[in-house]
Amino acid sequence: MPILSAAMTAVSERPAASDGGEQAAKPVAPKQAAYYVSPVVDAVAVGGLSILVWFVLYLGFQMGWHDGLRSAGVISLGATMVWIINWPHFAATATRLYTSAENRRQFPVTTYVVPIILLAGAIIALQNPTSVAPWFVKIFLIWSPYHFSGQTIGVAMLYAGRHGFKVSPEMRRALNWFVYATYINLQAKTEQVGSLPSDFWGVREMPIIGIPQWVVPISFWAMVGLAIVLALTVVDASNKGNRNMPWIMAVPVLAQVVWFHMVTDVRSFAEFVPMFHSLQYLFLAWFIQMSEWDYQPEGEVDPAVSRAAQREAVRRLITRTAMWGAWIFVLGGILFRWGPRAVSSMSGLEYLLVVGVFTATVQIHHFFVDGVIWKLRNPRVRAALYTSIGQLVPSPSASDDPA
Amino acid sequence: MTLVVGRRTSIALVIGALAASMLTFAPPAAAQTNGDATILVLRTNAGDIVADLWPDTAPETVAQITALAQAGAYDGVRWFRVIPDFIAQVGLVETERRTPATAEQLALARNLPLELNDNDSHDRGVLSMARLDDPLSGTSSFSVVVADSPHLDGVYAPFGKVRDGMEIADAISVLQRDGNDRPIADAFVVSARVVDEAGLAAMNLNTDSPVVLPGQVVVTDAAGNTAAGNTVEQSRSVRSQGRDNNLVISLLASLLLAIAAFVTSSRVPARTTGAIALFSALAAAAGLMLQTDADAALLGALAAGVLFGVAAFVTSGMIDHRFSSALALLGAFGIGFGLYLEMVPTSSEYTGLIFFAGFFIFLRLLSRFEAVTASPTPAKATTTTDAPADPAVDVTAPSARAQATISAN
Repeated sequence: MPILSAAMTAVSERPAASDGGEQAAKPVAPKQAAYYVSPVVDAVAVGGLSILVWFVLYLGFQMGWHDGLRSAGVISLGATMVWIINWPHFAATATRLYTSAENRRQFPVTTYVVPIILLAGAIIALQNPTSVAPWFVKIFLIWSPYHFSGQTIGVAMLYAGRHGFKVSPEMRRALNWFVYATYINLQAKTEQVGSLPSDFWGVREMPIIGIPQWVVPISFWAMVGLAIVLALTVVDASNKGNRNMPWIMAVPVLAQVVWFHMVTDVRSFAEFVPMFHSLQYLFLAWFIQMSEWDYQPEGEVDPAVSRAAQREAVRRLITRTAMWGAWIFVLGGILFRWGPRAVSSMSGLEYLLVVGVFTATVQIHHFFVDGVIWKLRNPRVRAALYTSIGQLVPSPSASDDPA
Repeated sequence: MTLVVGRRTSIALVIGALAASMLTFAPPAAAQTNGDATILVLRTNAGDIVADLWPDTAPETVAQITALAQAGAYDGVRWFRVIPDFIAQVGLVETERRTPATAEQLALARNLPLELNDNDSHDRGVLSMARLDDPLSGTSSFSVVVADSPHLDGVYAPFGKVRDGMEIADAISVLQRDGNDRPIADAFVVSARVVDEAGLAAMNLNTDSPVVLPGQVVVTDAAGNTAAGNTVEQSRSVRSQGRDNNLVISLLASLLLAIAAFVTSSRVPARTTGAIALFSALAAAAGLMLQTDADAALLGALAAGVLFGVAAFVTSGMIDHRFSSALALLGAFGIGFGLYLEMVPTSSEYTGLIFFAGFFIFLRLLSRFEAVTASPTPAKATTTTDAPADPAVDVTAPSARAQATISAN
């Protein structure tokens, strides 16, 4: 199969950095694409769209076009997007784990032990809707933005790798600290003493953890300080490497700040934050899934691509995308809608209670699975994470042009 | 070169601007001015509270509170949430009445606009309208703020201030409460009316001698004197009686040992991990024996700690160390939760902080678990030499690795 190396040559964008003169005498190794599709498309998918939507909503709110609240229309739109993007992203993770014998063998605890424990937790929660269920859901709700944070760091680092930008240990630490500071400040605000208990579907009055109010300003200023530290480490790393930090690294980080902190300016935006996180995820997951299906061990690739091969690649990609998309859409519906309805019908438990507990269970499982299946030790994952549209649909070689 | 420096500076400026933009979230501070007042008289079973309402500051809120009070909607509504040094909150007319509200009364509890003002200040004594996340969700529940709470400024709408009876509000705010901050004693509003000065003068009120409520804990000091738990100090004293230091110490020891078993599991022989887990289980078992109250949740958490610790020990020599370390981690979480439950009845302002910090540490440890499970032969066995602890998408030393992959072609 010619796809891998040909695409690497075809879509290479990054100039050879610091290669020195001796590179001229050697065969120049092809380089991975800096983007999956293009700077604009990648930026939109990994957070740019969310920033744009927030800005438009904020502008509309300031101009008086809408009240910024979670109106019925906003909630309906959010619910629709949940079907299309949010639920499938959970299904994609489960699919990736359970359809791969290699993954199951490599991660037996996550594959078999964690679901059993979570299922037991879910059953206990359903049996104790006022005492255990609120805590069960609360754990998921506290964990969720932490999970977002991990993905933010991961995506930023992914683009550092794709651009060949060397992230210094100091910058990496500063990035970690800043991103997790945004998480801690968010939790300090939402879980502070005096906040009101809230409901999650049919799980009523989830307790407030009760973080002291003085933690809020401290965590806020720590976040600001760490943003400055991060900026300094970026400049330092740029100077040491004699090149600029790829701008796209900042997109997921800025998006997280918008998701966690600027959402308070436009309440309706909160309805879409999980969708933007899922969009970011699905964008990468689609490439990885498609790439893995075409994975070829190193050294078995053919650099020549014919037009016929390109057409075949496109046809295969569309077919697989349709199959994969349909599957994760249906599985998402089963996990979050039809499954709870069936359980509710059979058990007589309140439907909304089952939805709340199911949602928490599936998402906590997702947090576990997501943490292990992207390990680069697996050469398939390693290759897939650095794939691009050019690899999936390679351009024909010049010699194959009819002209 | 100038261009390069300029672009780097731009990146720094963008992040700096981000930091600066966050400054806009800093809470404002301002002073509250009192407007013309009508007078809300809350007669409670703990004593009476008199407050001036601020129709100029929050006209719609005051109008609705007045309408509800005059309709008798607050009569029999419980104080459903009390937090010492913070608030005493009157419940919703819709759900917290001792007898159901009439349709006419319920019709008066409409969603209110969030009436905020630049100079709002939640000082001690202020009446503040309660609401859910939605700014338009305030209807009838409100709080009496018993300590200056500037973090509420600009978030909740103040609409009046207590002029007389703060001793009563203080006494209600320190009532012994359950894990949801609901008073254990039955504290409620007997009647609420809005009157003028003449009407107030005609009332015979008790605004300075809190009444001991049915079910309220009474403290007996070392000298045998008794008093109702009606002051902050006494309330704390009551709550501290539930603390069993030995139990807390055993739980803490168990927790630390379970974490140690997990953290060291990839570095030491499996038997050592098992032994540490066993000590953790023993410590949890000691806690189980010390626990005399029939608290099902705590007993369950302790039992989970014991079971997972023993399971980690038993399985440590038989199966992959990953299972043992996972079991040890689960034991740690069970014990940690037990520790939290143990501390809830004696909650201080640090309880929530400790819980959150513990949970955050748990999540970070879990990242180590993921790193362990990803490689049965840990550390530097492959080209991945710096396994990251956290990212959902795991990318490390990518350029070198990608280059190696490419070079192989």
